Parts: sequence; structure tokens; C-alpha cells
Amino acid sequence: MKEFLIGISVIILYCIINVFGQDFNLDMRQNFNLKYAANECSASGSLFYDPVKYSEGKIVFQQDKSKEAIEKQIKNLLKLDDSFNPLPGSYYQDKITYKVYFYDYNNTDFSIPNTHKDVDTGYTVSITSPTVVVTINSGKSRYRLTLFQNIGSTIRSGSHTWKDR
Amino acid sequence: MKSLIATSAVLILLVIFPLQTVLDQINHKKLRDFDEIVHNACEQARTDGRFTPENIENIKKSVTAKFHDISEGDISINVTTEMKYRLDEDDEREHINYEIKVPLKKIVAGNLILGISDADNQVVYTQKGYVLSEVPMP
Repeated sequence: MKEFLIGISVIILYCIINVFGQDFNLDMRQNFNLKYAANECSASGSLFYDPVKYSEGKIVFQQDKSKEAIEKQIKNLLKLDDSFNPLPGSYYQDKITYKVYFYDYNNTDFSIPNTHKDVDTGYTVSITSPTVVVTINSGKSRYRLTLFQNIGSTIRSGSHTWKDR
Repeated sequence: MKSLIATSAVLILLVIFPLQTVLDQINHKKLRDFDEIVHNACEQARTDGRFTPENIENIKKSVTAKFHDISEGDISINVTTEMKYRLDEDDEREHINYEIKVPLKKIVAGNLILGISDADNQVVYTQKGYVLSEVPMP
């Protein structure tokens, strides 16, 4: 009887370890994919600039078009509907929110040192050229064990910079 | 002797659990590497304006190097190979689409003991999406 109870306890412990391990690995992979999404969104957003200002040698982002492109990319990469809620089959379970910061010749003096520091993630990037920074908050990760369900939100930032050649 | 036989039978069943943990870590590493390969290839495609044959070949070589149990024929690569230019409009004409699939051949450890066939013990992992071309119209 004693051996039977020990055996059952060992099996339950193994199951808990396996379930947590799988959920944690999936969380880490989605964390990486979120970082890629932030990088890709900032790259997409940086493609839309005012051609008249560009002909004067200044990059000024067309912020409306950039935001539209960023929103489309977020929905594409993270499998969301038009309200930024996860579609069935998506890993995420909360509504996704994002912030975008534009640093261009309209609002930044590039002759002095500038730094962008994200308040949520502490992501710090030196701003020396026109840059788009995107921060995405994907909400809570999926953990099946109740003990780990309130671990905290996953927030990642990415940036894309125009460099003069 | 009776205890030895009973313990051996139970050990065979119990050893599946640590083997499953090891297999999960191996699969996680494979998928993590696959994601990185695809994302790097997409960034290259963004600057090239399309997925070049060299880029596609590189994907196949990199994936088969990480997944030792598959060949290049098992990888499904459905990507945009014609040139896409930046039009400042954010529509389909600028999209470089990609859909890359790879089979993950072992999910459950000791599947035959548990009555799961090899055909059922695999899944196809897909990375799908689009990137915007950075190449200006000539």
C-alpha cells in the first residue's frame, strides 16, 4: 500500500513538472515571437515617410499611414481580429495593446544625444537617426496550472532606425 | 523475485515521464531554432524584395541541420519569389508572403507503449505571414 501511494505521488509530481515545462517553453517561444513582431512592426512603420520632406533630405514619418501598417502587421503576426482580440487558435487570451513612438526631423534634434526608454519594459535605445519604436503588450501567458496563471503580462519592444550611408 | 518483476514493470512505465520532459526540451529547441531561421529569412527577403533562391536554399539547409530526422523534401516552402517594390501604399502589391511548414516527428515519448502510432505522433508546425518590401521602385 505504501509503495502504491508513493508511486501515485511520483506520477502526479511528474505530471505537474511536465505540464509546467511545456507551458513555460511555449511561453518562451511566444515571447521571442512577440519580440520579432515588435521588430517587424517598427520596420513596417518606418517605410512611410513624407516624400516632399525626404527630397529636402529630412525623414518625417507619415504617422497615420505608419500606424495603419503597424496595426495590420500586429493582427497578421499575432492572429487577431479587427478589435485586437485573439482569434480562435491564437496563443494569446487577452486583448493586445500597443504603443508606437516616432522620432524624426519633425520632433527630434539628432545633433544632441537622445535616448528612448520604455516605461513598461525598460527597453532603451539610443536615438541618433529617424527611428520608429513599437511596444506590444500581449497580456497574460497561458499556464494550465492555477498556481502560475497570474505570472504577469508579456511586453516586448522593438525599433527600426534609418541610418545615413 | 516477485517484487523485482513488479518493480521492473512499473519502472518501464515511470521512465516515460522523464523521457517526455527530455523530448519536450528537444522539441522546444527545434521549434525555437526554426522560428529564428524563418524570421532571419524574412528580414533578408524584406531587403531583397522577394525570397531569392539563395535565401530558400539557406532555409532548407539551416532547418535540416537543426532537425536531424527530416530531409529537405519534408520542408514545405511557399513564399513570394517575384519582385515586390515599395509603393508607400501598404497593400498586397508590397507584401512578400511566406508560409513555411516543417514536420515535428516525435511528440510523445514511448508512444508505442501507450498505443499511439508513429503516424499519429507527429505534427506539422507552420510559420505564416507577410513582410513589406523595402526595395524602392526602379
